[in-house]
Amino acid sequence: MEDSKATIAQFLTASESAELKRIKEDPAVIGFTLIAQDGTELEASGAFKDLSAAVFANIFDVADRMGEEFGVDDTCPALFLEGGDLEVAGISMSSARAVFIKRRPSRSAGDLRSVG
Amino acid sequence: MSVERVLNKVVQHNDQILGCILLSSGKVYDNLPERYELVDVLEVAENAESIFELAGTLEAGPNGFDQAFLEFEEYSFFARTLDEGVLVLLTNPIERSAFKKMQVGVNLFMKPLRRELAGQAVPAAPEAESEEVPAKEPKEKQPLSKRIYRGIRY
Repeated sequence: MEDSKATIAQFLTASESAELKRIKEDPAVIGFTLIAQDGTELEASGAFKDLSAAVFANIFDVADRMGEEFGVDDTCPALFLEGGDLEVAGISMSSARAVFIKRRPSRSAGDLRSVG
Repeated sequence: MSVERVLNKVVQHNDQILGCILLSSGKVYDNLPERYELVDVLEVAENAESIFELAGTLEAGPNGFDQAFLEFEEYSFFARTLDEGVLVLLTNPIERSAFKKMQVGVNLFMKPLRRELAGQAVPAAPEAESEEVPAKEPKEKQPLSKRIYRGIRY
């Protein structure tokens, strides 16, 4: 466990670690994945944890290729996916990419708030 | 109204939208500005399709992921799946939250677009066909497993 933490720390700056910790504490976040730039899974937890590193490493690669087609050399800084009651945010950092899977507030929850 | 005219209206609707690419039934339509004439629009549309195929492997629920927004420094892409294909909008470099505010306007054109695409599915009369600008022929599409190079663990 300590080894794993040490490895992850190599890929994140102090401010990136602090920001990721803050976002992970959001109760709407149901899954988190951290991927090295070469696609290696550094950490995965919650929803889709068995697949998300491989899937999102590929999605980032495809996004990069879309950018390259328009003459952008650098990598895709941020991508978002949306559908059903889920949304995904993928962010490129200095040496890694973080993916958050978030549950969107449902309409029924809104209805309950209005009753209260 | 033709598919191309609806796409033009989508672009004219908001000056943040630079152009769009639509892939439907193997045909690709686009109205990108001239400076992007070297862009392989089919490649871009197929890449957008790949993103949804990859996201689909997560089996996220009944509706799955049907919208994607990619932010780059010089522009952004918005892609969405339609029953008839995939639509990609190229925008100025705006953030997703800014795009969400103008997305309602874009959605207004989805119904006429789908209506036109449904019309395209019916074989046109030969004389009408000759007046249409021919859509670009699709390249042979590789299976997803060949287009991606990082293994997905199933």
